Amino acid sequence: MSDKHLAKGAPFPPLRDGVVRLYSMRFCPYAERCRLVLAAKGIEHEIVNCSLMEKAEWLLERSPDGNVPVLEHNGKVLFESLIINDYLDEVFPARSLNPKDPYQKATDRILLQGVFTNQVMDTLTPIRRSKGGDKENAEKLSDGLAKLETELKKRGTKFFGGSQPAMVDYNMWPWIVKTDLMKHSGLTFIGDNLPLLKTYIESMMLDEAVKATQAPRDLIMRFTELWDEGTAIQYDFED
Amino acid sequence: MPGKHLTTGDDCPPLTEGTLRVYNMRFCPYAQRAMLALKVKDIPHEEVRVNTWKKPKWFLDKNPNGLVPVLESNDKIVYESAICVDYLDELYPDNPLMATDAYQRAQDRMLFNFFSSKVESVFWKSAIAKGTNAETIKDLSEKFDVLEAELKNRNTPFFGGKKVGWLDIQIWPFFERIEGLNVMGDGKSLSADRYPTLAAWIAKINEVPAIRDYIVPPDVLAKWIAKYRTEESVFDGLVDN
Repeated sequence: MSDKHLAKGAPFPPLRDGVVRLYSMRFCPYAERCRLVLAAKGIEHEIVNCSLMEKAEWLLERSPDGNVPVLEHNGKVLFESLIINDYLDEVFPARSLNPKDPYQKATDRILLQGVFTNQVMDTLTPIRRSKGGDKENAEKLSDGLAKLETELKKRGTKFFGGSQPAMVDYNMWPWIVKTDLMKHSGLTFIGDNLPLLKTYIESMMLDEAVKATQAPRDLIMRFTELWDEGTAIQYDFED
Repeated sequence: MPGKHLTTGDDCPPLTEGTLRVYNMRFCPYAQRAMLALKVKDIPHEEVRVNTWKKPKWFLDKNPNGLVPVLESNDKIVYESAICVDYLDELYPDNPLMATDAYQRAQDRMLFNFFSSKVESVFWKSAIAKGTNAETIKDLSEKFDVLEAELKNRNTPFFGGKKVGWLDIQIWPFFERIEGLNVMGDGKSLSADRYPTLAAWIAKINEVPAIRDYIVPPDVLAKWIAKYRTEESVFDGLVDN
């Protein structure tokens, strides 16, 4: 997965029949959700990495705003990470990631759409960009993580999804894993203050799907720095 | 018959074990999604109405966001309108609202994603401006063009096919309110000239008793919204059901 990110003008990589293709960007957390599910379910697939600064025409044809991830499979095109993940789970039977119980499924979605999106996902970038100055979002994140800790305690399982990571874990992971990127601003959010989350992160890091999709830490940091600054964004790095 | 909209100071009615309860506000389009799922699927339930302007304190224990709809049954609580619809459809698999084909389901979800993230905010912007903002109306009209094209492409009476389905229920509450909220600026529902397919769809929706019987007449909605969130807010006695 160190394929060059293709940009405007790059020829369309030919599709082969029956191949599941994911249009992605190596450091995009939304695309990472789908890469995790593809890996977790053992679905054979190919990745086409895309530049998001100078978007290839064939990407813009497939995705309304030229966003990744996009899934292409036997003429079917899907976008939106959560929609792709639900589709993959419904079509590929090996290792069901969504709970069978409708109430559990609803509860996981409420957690993802609510606390996680509002207090974790939406706060990370503002906090990083402010280099710790944004106290409001920092408080929101602390509170959000505390709520996740409480939820994990309530569930009494190793992962939010049970004894193994499930859909909700993979859908949250690309952001949970980044909650420690603010250390250089002197902000630590998950430590001994949130023991269950701390152990949760350690357990997730040992998960096979996470190991298969995780970029090296230093590259994530380098990319994120450039992305936060908004100029000279780089997608390809020497591994 | 559902009771009055409960407000500050009113007690929470006790919930019998095994009963599925929905917390509703008669004029809320989001709560209407859950109500339509219950009615179209004929799911036995009990309705408790909540005054969303002056909420009873206990309602925040049900949903910390303090919004309708909320589903409650034996200590299981579900909220967020789209999640409620899916939950009901999965809990009661007879008469499924969702498409049976996984790709069709994904296409419905993608279209719904377009609706929630790109159409709703423009809809409300126009409603708040009472149909006087020409630029907003143009924007909204173009968004409706997308839905017109999509339904035309499907070549079926409903988004869900021959029968009312998941997507019809998710988006209908907004189309119902076009006239009453004057979002197109002309005091009318969608023009059949520009939107022949959607206009035909609206007519078909009006033939589905479960949906038709819950419609609030545009003039009643206009009267209600004029007073909503003021000291003269009124929730009860405006419609028969």
